[in-house]
Amino acid sequence: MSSIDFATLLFTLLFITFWGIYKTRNQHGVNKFLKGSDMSWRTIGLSVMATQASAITFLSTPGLGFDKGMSFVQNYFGLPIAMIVVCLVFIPLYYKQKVYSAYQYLENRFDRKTRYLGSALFLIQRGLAAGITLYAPSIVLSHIFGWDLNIIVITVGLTVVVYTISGGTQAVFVTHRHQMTIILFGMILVFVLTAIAITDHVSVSEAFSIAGALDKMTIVNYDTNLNERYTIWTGLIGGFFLALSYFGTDQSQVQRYLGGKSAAQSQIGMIFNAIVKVPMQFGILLLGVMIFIFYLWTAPPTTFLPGDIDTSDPVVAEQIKQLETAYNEQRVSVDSYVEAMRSSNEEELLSTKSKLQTAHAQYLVAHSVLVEQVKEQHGLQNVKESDYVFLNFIQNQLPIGILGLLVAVIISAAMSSTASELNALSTISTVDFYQTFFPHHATKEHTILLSRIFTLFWGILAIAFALFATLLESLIEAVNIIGSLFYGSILGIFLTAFFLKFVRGSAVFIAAILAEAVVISLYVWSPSGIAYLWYNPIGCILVMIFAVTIQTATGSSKTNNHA
Amino acid sequence: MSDSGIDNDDNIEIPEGRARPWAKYYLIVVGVLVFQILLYTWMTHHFA
Repeated sequence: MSSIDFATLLFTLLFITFWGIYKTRNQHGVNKFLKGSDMSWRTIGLSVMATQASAITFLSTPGLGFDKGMSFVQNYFGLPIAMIVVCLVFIPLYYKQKVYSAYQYLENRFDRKTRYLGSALFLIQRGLAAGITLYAPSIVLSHIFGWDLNIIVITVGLTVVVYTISGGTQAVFVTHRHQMTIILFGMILVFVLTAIAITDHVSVSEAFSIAGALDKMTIVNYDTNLNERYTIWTGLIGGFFLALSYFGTDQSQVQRYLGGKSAAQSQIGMIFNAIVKVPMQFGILLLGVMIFIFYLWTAPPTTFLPGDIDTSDPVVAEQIKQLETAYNEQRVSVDSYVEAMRSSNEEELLSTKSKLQTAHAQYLVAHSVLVEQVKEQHGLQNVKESDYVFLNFIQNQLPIGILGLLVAVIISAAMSSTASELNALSTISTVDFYQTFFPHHATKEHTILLSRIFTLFWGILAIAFALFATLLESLIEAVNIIGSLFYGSILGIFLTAFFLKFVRGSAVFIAAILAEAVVISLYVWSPSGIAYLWYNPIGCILVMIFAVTIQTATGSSKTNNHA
Repeated sequence: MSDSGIDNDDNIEIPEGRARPWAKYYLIVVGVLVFQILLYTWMTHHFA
């Protein structure tokens, strides 16, 4: 990394951190510390986006576009509809009851044990996830720049802890605005520079046609096969339930819109997110596809993985030679295909398209052999090559200064997500646990002090988890899976609370546990592996069915509805 | 400007106390989504 890049990176991160601390230095109100009140819709919209967009979004998503094409965008199709439901149902109820946490509502509606169940599931899930949010980008930056992994984790983690302790939710909002601005500016800049680089060879339309010929432009898939991971149905239905659960019941998001000047401001902030999110994901994936097109004319590295390949081995040298031959054949095929497109000769177009597809398939085979070699040589078996495509491209193909800005984008994204998580974990620990056990301690000063102590506690836990994560690779995967398995049931509890008003606390409590058991059993014993987004509607609907059945079977007509 | 230093000025008129007044905003959200799905479907077929 050049000194200009490093200066850009350092300036960006230090500016955001000190700005966050400076702007919230004089606040002493519990409301502002825990909720961050008086936020405009712009701040809420950007903060909601900054919370959802973790660093790995900006590392992995372009890589996903590069590797698999555009189909992943379908996962977000359910999000705008979920935002409307959040605006119509969740936000008015939370505002009406003046809650600090989403789970406070569950006690008002059901009972305290249901509140503890919701909060405990959140603490377990988010407590571990915060560590991964720090670890995932740190390991990539460490591999690419050779920086010490522990130093990255501790520096980024402690910086977040310092400003979150200093200004609470208000500081998270202040920093989110700047972080998201830098993220959007950085990504748009790279998008434009990449588009300009491609148009040296082909027009935008020709670039899309080449990407389509090589199966990167299947954006919408109407296949009804349940095992197909990305289809319009998994996106609209599964994505809807996932987004509804995430934005409606996950405190790291709920806390963002509870800080609005009014319910109306929060609703507009969410509508802003509903309109912007799908095009943003489309743009990030398209950036990956454009990088793919770029490398059809500019020779890519042997692999995008970190670490040099040992060419002294004659077998490896021969494999590299085969890769170069395959690449050159692909290059000739691309040129022929472009010429055919320009001549508008249908027969020639079909013939050159078929040759291009064959040449690309041969290149992929030669490439995958070398990827396995590098993985074996450098002990990178658990690493996905596509995660390294984007940073490698920025590092080697774009002007000096952009790399520093993009690393700042990635670290900003890691910080913004971690800050929301620590902030939410601290609020839940304070409001849903400590204050319910020791209600007589709930003075203003005590609450703020306690919230700061909990932020420090969860911050240190996240840093520790990230430091030891290399030893626990399988645990990381487990944590991610657990997250997606629990979301449906939590949403089921909330939807039961909203719409099935005769159901009481004990019925929904047992229903949630039963539904979770069924979802986990399905995951463990499902023979062909249902696409993971389907677990969200399954968990949610099961909770509601079980809750109604148990309530009906126990026969009590007495309601406990304060909603 | 609030005491937090965050600029809260706003060009949109917010009717206070009305929690769900904007059917037209929700229609815009649905409209934008439907438009995108149609556009992406067309792109999928056109560039296939």
